[in-house]
Amino acid sequence: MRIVLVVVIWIVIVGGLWAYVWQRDAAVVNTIAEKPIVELAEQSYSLEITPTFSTEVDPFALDTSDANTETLEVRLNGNQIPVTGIQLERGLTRTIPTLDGVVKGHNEIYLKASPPVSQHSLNHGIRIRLFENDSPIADHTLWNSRGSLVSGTVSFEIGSVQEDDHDH
Amino acid sequence: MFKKIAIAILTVLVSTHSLPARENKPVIVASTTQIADFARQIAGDRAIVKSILAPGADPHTYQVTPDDVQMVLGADLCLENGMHLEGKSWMATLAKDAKKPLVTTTAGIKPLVIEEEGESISDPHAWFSPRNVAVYVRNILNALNRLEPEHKSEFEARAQLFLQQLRVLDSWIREQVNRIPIQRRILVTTHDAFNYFCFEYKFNANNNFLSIAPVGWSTGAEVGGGMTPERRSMVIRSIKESGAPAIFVETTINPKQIREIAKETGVKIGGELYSDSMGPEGTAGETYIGMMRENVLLIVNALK
Repeated sequence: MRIVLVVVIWIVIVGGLWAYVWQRDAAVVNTIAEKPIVELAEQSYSLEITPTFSTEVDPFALDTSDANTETLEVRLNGNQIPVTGIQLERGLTRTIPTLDGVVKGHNEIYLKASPPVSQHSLNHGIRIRLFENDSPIADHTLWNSRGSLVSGTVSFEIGSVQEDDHDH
Repeated sequence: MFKKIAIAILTVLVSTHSLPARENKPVIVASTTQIADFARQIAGDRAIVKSILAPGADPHTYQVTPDDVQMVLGADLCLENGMHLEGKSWMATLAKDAKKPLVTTTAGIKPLVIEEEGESISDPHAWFSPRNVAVYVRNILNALNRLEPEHKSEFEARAQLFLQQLRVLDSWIREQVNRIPIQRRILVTTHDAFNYFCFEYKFNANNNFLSIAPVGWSTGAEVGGGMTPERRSMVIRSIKESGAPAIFVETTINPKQIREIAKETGVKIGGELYSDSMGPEGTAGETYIGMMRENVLLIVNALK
């Protein structure tokens, strides 16, 4: 009788422990994130980019296959802006004429470009100017540290004049 | 009696709150410490990465142990350097015997062809160029993406960060090496593992920008065997002829003989370089970037 009781208790303890750990790890939190309501800005926006270098394919890029050798990456509020065919050249201004996806409130432009590896000893920068109906509303220069890519974000508000930037 | 049982059950249940979640991480086994480091940079906490070679071990002469067989049997993915770095293809054999997938991480690298004992061979020490390491990283990333496709974006984010670190490392090395006058940019090491480094950063112009190891110094001699008096004189003559202001020993090589030879030639010892293996945990050379940084600082300080 005593041995049966020991076995039963053992099963209860071990089984209970196993069941507890199993159900705890299997539990999935099903929360539906509320999508923030965004309102597109009504004006038209364009972006001017002026680098201190001519871009070059980055030998340290994640993908160096022929189909993915873009030397410039621009994102607006996390969405990639098509820049196919835009080749940055030292001192020359290139324009993205239509910047779709600017919203009322806070916006963020991320930009990344690869300077030539051979110019490792130079600090490079890119000047970014944002236009609203041909009037400049943001003007920033992103700088790199020697040898790194030029990348950074420019934040701006639509509906207010506040802006700030953060570059690397 | 029942009170005691109830307390025991309660204690066990309360203590389970602090139990870690069940882990089901894939195991990646790399042949060398460098490849293990690259894999760790990409996999992060999503995988358990092990290296067969211990820090300081020599892949050319490594003898497989029963523990290595066990390690590979428990692997989900095996990584090798290839290009015959692993003497007698021991990693490929281990993976094949255990029926585990094997990825050659140097696939796609343009090898430097060198002459060794009258034969043309591809130099396997490709990691001495950070640009080549970018290829290692892409190969490991592809393998991890196949193994755990649900974590693809995470692997890519880590790989991207590591690639940017490699880019900065590469430009930093160029800047440091530039401090050495061109005529003093002569790198002589005990084992010609530094061909890719010399080629990338333009050392040894008189030797087609390839590594210089003293003539007569072979893999056998590096580990202490095969050093006859004739070979010793060849080594001494070779060091003198190279015009090197300093020579370097490597952490995987017994430095005793080269120190004696350096004494005889009057050339100073520049220090111990990390070569086929990285440093033990807790040392500056325990990561690839740390290992390269320490090597470059030693070289620049000795030659400038």
